Amino acid sequence: MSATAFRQVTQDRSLYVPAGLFLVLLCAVAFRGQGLFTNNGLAGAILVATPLILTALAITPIVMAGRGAVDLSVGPLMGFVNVTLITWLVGNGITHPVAIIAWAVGLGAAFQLVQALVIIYVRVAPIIVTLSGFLVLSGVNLMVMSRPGGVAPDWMLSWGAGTSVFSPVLLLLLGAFAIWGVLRGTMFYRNLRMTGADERMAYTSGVQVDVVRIIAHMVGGVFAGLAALSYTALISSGDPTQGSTYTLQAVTALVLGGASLSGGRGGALGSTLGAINMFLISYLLSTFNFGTVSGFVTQMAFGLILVGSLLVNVFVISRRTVA
Amino acid sequence: MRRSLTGTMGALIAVSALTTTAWADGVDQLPANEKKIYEVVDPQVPLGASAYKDFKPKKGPPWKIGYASSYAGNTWRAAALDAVMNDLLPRSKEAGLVSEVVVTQSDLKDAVQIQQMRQMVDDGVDAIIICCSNVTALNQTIEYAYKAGVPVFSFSGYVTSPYAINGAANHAQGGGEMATWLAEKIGKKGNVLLVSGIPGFASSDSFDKAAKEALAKYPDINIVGEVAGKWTDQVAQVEVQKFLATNPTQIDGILTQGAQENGVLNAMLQSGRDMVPITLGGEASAACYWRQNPEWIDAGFHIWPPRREMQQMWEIMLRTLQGQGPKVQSFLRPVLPFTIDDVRAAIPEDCDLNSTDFVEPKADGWFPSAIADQYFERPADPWKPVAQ
Repeated sequence: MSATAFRQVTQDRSLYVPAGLFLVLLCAVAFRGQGLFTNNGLAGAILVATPLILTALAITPIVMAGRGAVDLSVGPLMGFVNVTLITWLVGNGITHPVAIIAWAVGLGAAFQLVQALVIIYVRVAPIIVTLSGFLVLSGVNLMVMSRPGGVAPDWMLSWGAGTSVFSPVLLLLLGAFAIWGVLRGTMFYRNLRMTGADERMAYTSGVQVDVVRIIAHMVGGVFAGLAALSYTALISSGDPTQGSTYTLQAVTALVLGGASLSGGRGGALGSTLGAINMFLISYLLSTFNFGTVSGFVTQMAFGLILVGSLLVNVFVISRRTVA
Repeated sequence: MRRSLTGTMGALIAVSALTTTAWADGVDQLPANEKKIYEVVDPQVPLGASAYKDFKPKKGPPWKIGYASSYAGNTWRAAALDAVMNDLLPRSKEAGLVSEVVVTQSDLKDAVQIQQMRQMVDDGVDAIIICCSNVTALNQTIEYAYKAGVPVFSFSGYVTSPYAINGAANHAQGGGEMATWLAEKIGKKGNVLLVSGIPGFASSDSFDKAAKEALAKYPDINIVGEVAGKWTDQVAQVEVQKFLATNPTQIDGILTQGAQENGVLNAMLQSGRDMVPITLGGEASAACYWRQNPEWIDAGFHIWPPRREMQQMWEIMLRTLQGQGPKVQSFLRPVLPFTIDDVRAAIPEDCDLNSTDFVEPKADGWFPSAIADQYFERPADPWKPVAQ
């Protein structure tokens, strides 16, 4: 798998910047201390970064399908799965792992199916549909659970301990990569890229663009379900409001990973690198002690790194188009 | 299915049995006048015995402290941080108790706060202070810290983890008292606007819950609206302005949480309506308006004085690290009313209506050491310098 990833990085120019930034950040973190490179440090990193990686993955197929389809609803959707899981399932004594996982994945896919149908058949711009999804779910989440509380099922409690690298959370992540790996080999993936690059041309070439869009959304929904599972493991409880903060982070990770918001370009590797980079930036900044001005310095530094790498990214990618 | 139900029931019974015994162990050990503070309390606040009764730190003093703050964007947080960096830390350094304070900010993102706390633990801090966070999300991380010998102290808000020590005013009691004061002040009848803090946050929810319960006792009082001020004057001002502009209803009083009342006051002043009683939580700006209009109201409430709450937690932390053995998981303080005379003593006649400071209880007025001693198994003066 790492060999394929390596080949991808060397071949795809849009991955140069995220991969480069990743290496730079890794060196910087190593230089600042050894904390990350211990068993506990890595275990914690996987635990904390997985929900972000998976939400970034969840919006990747949808944005690849074009029409500027940035799925803003992904954060609250993850929150929705989280609170319903805790309130409706665990609250009613349903704690069997199969039921929990099926609920999370199924609910994510079902919600995305609805969004896809509205986008295709009601013909509203995707950004409006997903923004509505964001607002509706943000409210619904507070209705399902008015304040943070509840407990994750017993078997999930140990997931959030973050003391072992080979935890179930890592399995969730690998599972998502495996799904993506299988998809890459299918006709759907090629059609998805075609649809995103030029929907009209794809249609005239006989691609069923509507079906492609529906599948893209449902795959995204499955990833959002997995993200919700890892998030539930992270906080071991339910939280109606935190999910929303993930939307912006996931979109940032996506763009940082070299995906194009206008569609056609993007992939799991880029989004993953983008999400890991965001984690590393945050980790790196936390190793400094800025004292009383810490709040402002952290946010400013975070923003500057993002803007800087995006600028470089645009430069590298646009040179490719010229050549 | 049935089996899992029985299992859950069993677990529930076991847990409830545990809490009863734990309660007997924790709060019941306190003297009667302190126990009173725990009578009206948010049911989620953990009242068991502390896990740190026999705690000994890994090393030190001097200790290295981590402050994993979750937000930096309002005057209250700034005052709390200022209390650490410019008062408590220098004094502790001088006494040889603390060597360094590491501060991080997570901008209200739980996942980032979790990462920062774990980083602090891995980095070898001796104790972590957090503030008014999500009540459940950090529990696994707090346990992680506990297992590494690092106690976690939550000030101005609780977390439900048995491995944390909480210190705050009894926000439920505060919400109840402030609501009752307002209800009496407006003559037990009329329309009240409720300005909440950040819904979903511990202290904010405790306050609202008890405030609503207290107002429900007055049948002629209606809560005509509820907005969230985010504990930030500017946000509260915009939210209240929006409400007043779109709701022509008569408002007879505004019940707002602390640290945002000046925004509420400004919104009322700009609306052109007649001034109504507003609950004050200690902002020097709104207190200044009161000083200039002494007839406006007759009481304010220290509900979460930032510097004093931080000082309370700091002293609890020092005592715990010194092995004094805290008796309870949650140190609750009663909400202290203050009068116009207190305001006159605290701020000058030509005070600043836009001040970002707070009127706070006297240094030893919030958590006096004589009372603090009763909360510990082996009490001693926490500030006693260490022989170097």
